[in-house]
Amino acid sequence: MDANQLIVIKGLEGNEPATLTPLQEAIVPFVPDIILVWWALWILVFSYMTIRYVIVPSLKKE
Amino acid sequence: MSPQTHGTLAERLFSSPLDRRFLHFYRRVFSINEIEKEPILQIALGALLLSVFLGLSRWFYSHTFSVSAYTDNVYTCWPYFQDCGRWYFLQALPEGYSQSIFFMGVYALMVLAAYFMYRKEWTLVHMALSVVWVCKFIILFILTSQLAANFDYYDTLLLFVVLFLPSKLFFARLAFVLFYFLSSTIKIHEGWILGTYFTTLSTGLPLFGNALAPIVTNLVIFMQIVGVWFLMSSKKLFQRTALIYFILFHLYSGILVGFRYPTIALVMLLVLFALPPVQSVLVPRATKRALAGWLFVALLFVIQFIPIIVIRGDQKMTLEGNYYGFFMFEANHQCISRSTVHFSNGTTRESIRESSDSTWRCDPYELWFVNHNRCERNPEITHIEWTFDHSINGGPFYRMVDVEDACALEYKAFSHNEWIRVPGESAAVVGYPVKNYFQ
Repeated sequence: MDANQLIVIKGLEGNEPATLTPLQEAIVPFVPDIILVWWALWILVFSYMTIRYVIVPSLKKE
Repeated sequence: MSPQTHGTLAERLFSSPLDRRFLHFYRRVFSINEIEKEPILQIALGALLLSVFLGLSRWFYSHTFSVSAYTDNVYTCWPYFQDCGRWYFLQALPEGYSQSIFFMGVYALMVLAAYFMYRKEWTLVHMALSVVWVCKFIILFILTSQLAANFDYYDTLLLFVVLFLPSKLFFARLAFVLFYFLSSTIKIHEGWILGTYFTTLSTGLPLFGNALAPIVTNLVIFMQIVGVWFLMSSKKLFQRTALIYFILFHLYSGILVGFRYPTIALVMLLVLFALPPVQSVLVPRATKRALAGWLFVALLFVIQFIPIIVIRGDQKMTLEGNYYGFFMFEANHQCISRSTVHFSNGTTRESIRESSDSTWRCDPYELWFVNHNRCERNPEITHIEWTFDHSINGGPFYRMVDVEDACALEYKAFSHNEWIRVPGESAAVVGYPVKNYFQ
């Protein structure tokens, strides 16, 4: 990173540049896949809960 | 107090046959008997009253929806009601007393509600709190967007459920679970997956440190997508484990957010999920009455997904639709806005607005709104040059706005505004940030 391109907003003088930790650097290449996994899980949970709390109760006779 | 004494004050106040018919209708429409029979709902009303009181007390001296806010152009309307300022009629101190008088009227209603709770006059509690709710709703969602805060969304929505929906305890529990579930959607993003929201703060992630940040943040995501549903589990071990996790989560979050948010979130978590109900909380049958509750649930989803599905671009950068749903900790922001106002006499005036506070959302709409009002009110202004640079989570500063004339811009509330550039498309990188601060 070119230090000349650092933008230091008022009040942040002397703060170090925002950089990634070693663990974050290792995870970066997998971020799009992780996003996909989280959305897949979210949709799965949403579907299951919709069936459990909406569809099944509405099919039960009074 | 015995059941026979419930509502005797209400019956004395509504004594004529017509009054009694209204009372009976009111109690039936709003399912007051559910509150009378279930102590958890009674305690919930008390907890929500406390939260609403705390929220309204922060607004008492606010200049966000006063006449002077309009005349001084320091107000911001919601994008879906950009003319809100013309409706302002209250004046806040020191300019006038009307706003204080209004809030003291609301305060009196809250005190009355507390008294009626003591008297177990739940119909009267309901009436008093309904008026308080309407006042809060109008201020929060119609008169100004500057007061939008997730903890106010929490108590406004939960109070709506307990006051106005049937199967109150079920839908209150479900709504609370959905608050976490829907909030997880804003965390499925690089900033939370890597934990860079916190690691780009000068102070880092509290207690755990930056090295463990991605593990902690992804655990939070997992618990908000999966773990939260165990709060509604009939299996005590799972339910209590989820409860303990979220208690610890809210205590931890208080390190950053202070008392306000845990006062609504942690208290309602305990009220709704730690206390045993009088009767089992069953999923309501598919009836017309239950439809109101399910429509409310559907609305929560629709509102949360408007920016995700309807509005193109990363809402964390563009802030388009960001406040329509939950937006807590969606990104760590830094930004610089530079405006040059050109006057017909040839003079110019420059203004720069910078923010290094991670919690100030750097919303182009808010800055556009101020410039738009300047243009409308001052015929001497010929045009306003405007650039806006924005960085999130330690990522590059992108030039999101670069226009010759901000006066010519319009803002659409429910679709992407082409003059707001999108990273990866037309928004250029102009620099890189240093670490900033939380608040």
